[in-house]
Amino acid sequence: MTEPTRATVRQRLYAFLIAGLGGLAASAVSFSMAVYEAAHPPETPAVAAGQQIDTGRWFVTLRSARIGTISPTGVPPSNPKQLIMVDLDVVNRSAMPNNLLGKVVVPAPLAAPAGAVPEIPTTYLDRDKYFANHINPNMPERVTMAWTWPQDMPVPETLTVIVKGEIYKLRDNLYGATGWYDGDPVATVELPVERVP
Amino acid sequence: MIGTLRTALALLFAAAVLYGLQHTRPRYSQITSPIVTTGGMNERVQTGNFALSLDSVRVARALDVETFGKTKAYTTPGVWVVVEGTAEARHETLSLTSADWISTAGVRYALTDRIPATIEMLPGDVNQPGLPRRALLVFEMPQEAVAGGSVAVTRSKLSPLDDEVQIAVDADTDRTEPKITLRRNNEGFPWTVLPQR
Repeated sequence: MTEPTRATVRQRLYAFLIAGLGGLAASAVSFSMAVYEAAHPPETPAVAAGQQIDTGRWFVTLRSARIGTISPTGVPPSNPKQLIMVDLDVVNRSAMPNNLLGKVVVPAPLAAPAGAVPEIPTTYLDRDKYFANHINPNMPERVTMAWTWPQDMPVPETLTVIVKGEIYKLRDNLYGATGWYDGDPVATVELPVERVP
Repeated sequence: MIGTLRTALALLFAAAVLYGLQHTRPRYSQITSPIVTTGGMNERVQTGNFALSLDSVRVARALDVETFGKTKAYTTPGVWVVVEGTAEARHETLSLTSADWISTAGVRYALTDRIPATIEMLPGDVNQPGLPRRALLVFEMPQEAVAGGSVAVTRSKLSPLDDEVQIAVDADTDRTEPKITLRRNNEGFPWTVLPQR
């Protein structure tokens, strides 16, 4: 056994100083990296309509956009409102059925500001001309997503649609549970807006 | 010298132990998963709360649903699987609101929500203790998910550590029918699967 040594006051002071300065340096580097990333957001690639986009949880292929008042069910609404409708092909790549397409496909003019709750679109299954609830895994389907277009907003000639990615975590930071989490946008798609009744 | 080496070794050992713990720790979903009782076709599989047996499984490429004189055709990119059986509560009145098809790859396909609620499936039934009741389950899935799949039934999707019955369904994919019809009966037995066999 070696003789137990006790650090002098000077040695302990140095240890405290080094640890404190190191911590300060680490937080300064991390903070400046965050600031730099916020100032230089990664460029989101523009993808042509009809091209498949991998969002992690989904494969989506945006086809066309149109604005009108009649939803794909064909039943005229009792209180007419403008609907922006986007036709797309989807494949659920996860192991569970779900209906959370609204987290992945968002028209840029309707994107909610940070902190606000975005409008949940209605999804229609084209096969049934009826509401789509969950989309089963590995079953390609064509769906139509519909958002209410604000009355006072001018309708653009082309609609920019943001396609967001989702990240799979085997263990999340709170419970260690598996789940899908919001990621960065993976693509933007320009769709010409057709006017229909 | 020896002391430093010993410290370094201790640190390495601690890191190895932590790495091992991190990679062998059960997942949250495993810790909170339902308690599964397994069985086969034509077998009464019993848990503390309920019992289930399945006796018929039919696979078809298309499904017609006939209710109140109207027929609607339901197409699918995969196949329809119609399962019939008997459910029974044991000690208290309950509903079995969650039924999934689990493929051999571990992918879950939820009970279809496309067909109208006038065809009452298992989640809508109220099971009284001691009164066995016929149950209908309709799934939609890709062709390759049928072989070797099993049906998992539990009281609720959201109740961890509850009882779950998993029944291995030996569906015969060679006997895939082109089309079957689900008919709602207005009197007598609630539904009929046609053509009868």
